[in-house]
Amino acid sequence: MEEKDRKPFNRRLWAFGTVVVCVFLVLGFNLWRLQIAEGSYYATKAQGNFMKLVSVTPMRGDITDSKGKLLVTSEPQFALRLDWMDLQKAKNANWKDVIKRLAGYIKPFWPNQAQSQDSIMEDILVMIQNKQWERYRPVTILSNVDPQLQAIIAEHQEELPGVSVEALPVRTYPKKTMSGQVLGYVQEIFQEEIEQFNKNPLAEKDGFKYAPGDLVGKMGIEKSYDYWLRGKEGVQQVEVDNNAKPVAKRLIQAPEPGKTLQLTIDGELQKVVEDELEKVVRDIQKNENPQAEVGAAVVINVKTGKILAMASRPFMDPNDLIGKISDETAERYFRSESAASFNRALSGIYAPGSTFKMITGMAALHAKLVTPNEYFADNKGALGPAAVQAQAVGEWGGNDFGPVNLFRGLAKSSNIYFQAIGRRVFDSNPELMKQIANEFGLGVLSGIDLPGEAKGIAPSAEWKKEQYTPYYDKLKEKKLAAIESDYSTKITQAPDEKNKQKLKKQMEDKKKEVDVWYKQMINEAVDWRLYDSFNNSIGQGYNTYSPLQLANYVATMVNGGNHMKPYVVDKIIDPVTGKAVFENKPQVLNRVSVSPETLDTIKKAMREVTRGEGTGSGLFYDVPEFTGGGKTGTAQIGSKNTISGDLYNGVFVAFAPYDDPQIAFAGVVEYGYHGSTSAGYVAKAAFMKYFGWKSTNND
Amino acid sequence: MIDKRSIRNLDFVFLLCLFLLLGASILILSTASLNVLRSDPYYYVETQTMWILTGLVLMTITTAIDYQKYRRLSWWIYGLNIALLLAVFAFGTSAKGAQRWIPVAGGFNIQPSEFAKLFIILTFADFLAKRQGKLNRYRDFIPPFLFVGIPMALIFKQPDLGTTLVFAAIFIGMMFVAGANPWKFGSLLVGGALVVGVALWLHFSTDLPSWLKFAEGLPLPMKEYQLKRLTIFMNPESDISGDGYHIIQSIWAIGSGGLWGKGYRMGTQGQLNFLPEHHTDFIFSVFGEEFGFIGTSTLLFLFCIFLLRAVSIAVKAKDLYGMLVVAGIVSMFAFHILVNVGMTSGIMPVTGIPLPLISFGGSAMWTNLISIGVLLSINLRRQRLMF
Repeated sequence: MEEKDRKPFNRRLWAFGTVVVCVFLVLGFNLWRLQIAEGSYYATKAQGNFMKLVSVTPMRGDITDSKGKLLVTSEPQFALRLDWMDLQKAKNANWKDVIKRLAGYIKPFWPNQAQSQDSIMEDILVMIQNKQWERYRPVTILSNVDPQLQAIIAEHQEELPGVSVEALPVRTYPKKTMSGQVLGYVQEIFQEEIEQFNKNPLAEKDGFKYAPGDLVGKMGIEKSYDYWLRGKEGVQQVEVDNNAKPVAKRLIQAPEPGKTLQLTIDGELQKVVEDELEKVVRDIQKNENPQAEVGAAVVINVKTGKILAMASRPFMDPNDLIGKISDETAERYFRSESAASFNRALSGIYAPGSTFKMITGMAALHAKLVTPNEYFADNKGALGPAAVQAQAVGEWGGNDFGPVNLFRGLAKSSNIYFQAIGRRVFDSNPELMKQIANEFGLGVLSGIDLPGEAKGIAPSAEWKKEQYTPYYDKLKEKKLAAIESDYSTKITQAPDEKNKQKLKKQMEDKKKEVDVWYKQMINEAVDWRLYDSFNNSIGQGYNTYSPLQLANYVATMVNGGNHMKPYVVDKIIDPVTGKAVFENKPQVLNRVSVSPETLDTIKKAMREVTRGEGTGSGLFYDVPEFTGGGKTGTAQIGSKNTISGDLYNGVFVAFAPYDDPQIAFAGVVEYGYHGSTSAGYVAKAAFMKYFGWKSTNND
Repeated sequence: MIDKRSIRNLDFVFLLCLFLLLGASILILSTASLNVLRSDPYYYVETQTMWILTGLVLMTITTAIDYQKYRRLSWWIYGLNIALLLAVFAFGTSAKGAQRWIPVAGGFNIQPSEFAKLFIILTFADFLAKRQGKLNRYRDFIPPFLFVGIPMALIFKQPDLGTTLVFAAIFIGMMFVAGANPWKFGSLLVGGALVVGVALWLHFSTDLPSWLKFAEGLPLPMKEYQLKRLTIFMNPESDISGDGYHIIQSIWAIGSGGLWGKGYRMGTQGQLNFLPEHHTDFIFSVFGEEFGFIGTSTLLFLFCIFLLRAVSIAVKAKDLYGMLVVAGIVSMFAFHILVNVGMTSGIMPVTGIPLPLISFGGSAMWTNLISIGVLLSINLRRQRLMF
């Protein structure tokens, strides 16, 4: 080719080369844009593609009694687990084959024996699918694995990649029913509970949010201390590929185990109380009333408010409430009348019966309406004329104890004496009785560190008014409205003005009748009546309190008048360092207004109950070391002449020793009748155990 | 056959670039194909090395052959090309909805459309060289168009849209260098592009004004999946789980590489399989992810030098035929690079075009190396410079 011929071609070739360079510039610019200008944006995008964060459940904290004996722990239980991740990673096995083989091996141990290998395989696949929200956590196929199956799995480990028998922590309550209701149990959180749990101040502070699927305490300490017990979740980073198939896992943050709780409850004392309560109820079932089921008792340290024992029969074994609950279990624990999950010592309310009489006595002494040595004749005549007597309660079995003062009155549990002085209290200040009762913790919430505390009722004139007026107001309104609507149609249909006026007059009359009826009802059912004064002075009527309140009331009487806040958790211990991270300190809720002299007088009177001619004197006859005091109660369950009218609960309260009292007791036994021969036995057993007293009766 | 002194004619910068690119292919494939065949992670590297070595032998042979000899066989080659493309329809095996492969002995398949590119370059160069200076009128464009159009139509029918477009690029590049009147030829190209653009727009329209309603959903001679793939790059988010997925994942891969990249075999997009076809069509994304902008710009720079040296070989070619052959080969490479890098970085449609000399694949590697052999043959027999 000649040079001059080449020229245009060369020019075009270089132009062509320029186009090629332009192509590269365009590509290069675009890459600069992606990799430099927007590089970090795409880096996060790519990161989000394959990094998944999965939480790691921490070990829930243990609960021990006051002496460090284990009450609740998380024990390894062998579970057959399938790690989806490891299964997928297996190079030389098809995962479906592995699951099929697994189904074959576990067939003999499968809950439903009738299922075929294929249908078990299908079940396993469904389990994996159902756990989608925690896809990167292993799935539990079978819990509580039989040792035989364990051996089989171990033997065939090679052909079962991703399958393992692992020890998983499962909540166990080694003492079974002991203090079951106090401890509570653990179950999956309900949707509607989440908000309530999130309100825990500690959780709020940490920014922790409960999520569906979380296991939480459902009652007792497990619930009130859930946030301490649950520990802090760890975080595991899981790398996944495009099929969301995990390829690697790495623990970024180790889980922090839950704290150990040390209770104020003395395990040995608790056991004695429960055993005796069981024995007492069984005796009543056998000898008196086969329907007796229920009983409750509380032992409290009078100086600190520490709960040393708290028992409620029927007893609850939290082990029964782990995992899926059968219908039969649910019936026994939640639905039946004597539901075992109900902590009667805390949440049950009972008429205190004669155990209330110390309040009446203290109120009268406090208001200087009686002196300890003012005597009354122990018959209804002492209360006043026949009209007054008709509203009063007589002595048991028509007894006449002769002249009674405060000491004899309490020792013999004289109804006449306490009605007489109680009337004086109500007459002089209808609110005083309630005020004194409240000061001793009766009818008020104590703020104990357990959920479900009952408030009870300490009645007064004002209380009665507030309680019942709305009912009659509503009834009155209804009646008036009925008259109004009845007559308004009649009036409009009236033929002439004269008839109209007549009907209007009739209507007004009817309305006046309603007013009269209303006044009468208020007078009878809303206003405080003499019989209210009488009834409530001896612990009947509207009075209802929980055994916990009764125990704390006795404690307040004998500790010098400090109403202590009761509590069941003594210390919270970090299981790693072994050091206490939190300690519940005794806390005075209020000081009572009655004088120390009055308290001392009442204490003396309570001593008379347990000796000499006292109603509880027989209880400690074989325990010479016993000093202290008590009060028996026989609380009528229903009104006289009704079905439950002749059913009585046995109530007993006590403290010991007399000088420098240490502990107080309160107990209720359904259908127990006499406090000293039902709940009293429980108190006796508790005191003997606590102080190490021996019985002289060796039978 | 070869004058020993003429070895000195060879462009060593060009050859250096070639070997660097082939080395890069092995390096990139050793990370990009690591997770493709888990039982034998080095299968692809080994196979590719085999392709490269045999390809280099073929290249050497081709270099030795005087390229001018092809001119005499031009029509034979053209006929063989057509026959092979027809054979695809007769004996071809299909993959992913397209027939592209002819099975040959030893379990290997060959892809005639790969070789067709070289065949068309060789024959079209002869065709154009004979028509030197006769490309000034519109009607002069018709015979060249038919010449390339027939094999192109056959490839389009397979269907292999990517290679069809490569043919178009070769056609345009060679016509331009051959001296087609730039205004007339250019206006035809722009006009053609407009027609295609409007046709595509009509095809996808759903809410045209009433006077254009009749043209809504204009039928096009392409399968729907091809059309969708062709246009999805403009809005990959519209089909995140389908065709758009590949583009998005590829952009994320390249973008997340940043300046320095995540490191050899440290890429997450490729190693964890988020990238599709990451040892063939999307190999550039793996490279971009693991070697960053430093890596991608270096690779593009190498390609650019390589192609510019090829252009300089054309400038020094002994005759117009040689010039045109080189122009065709450079067009082919440049278009491949443009479309492949463009599609992995989201500015070109996904057409299944591999990255030349880098992507895994035997037919493509052979075609590319034989083409380079032809190029070197032209280089070897270049014009004696007269001083």
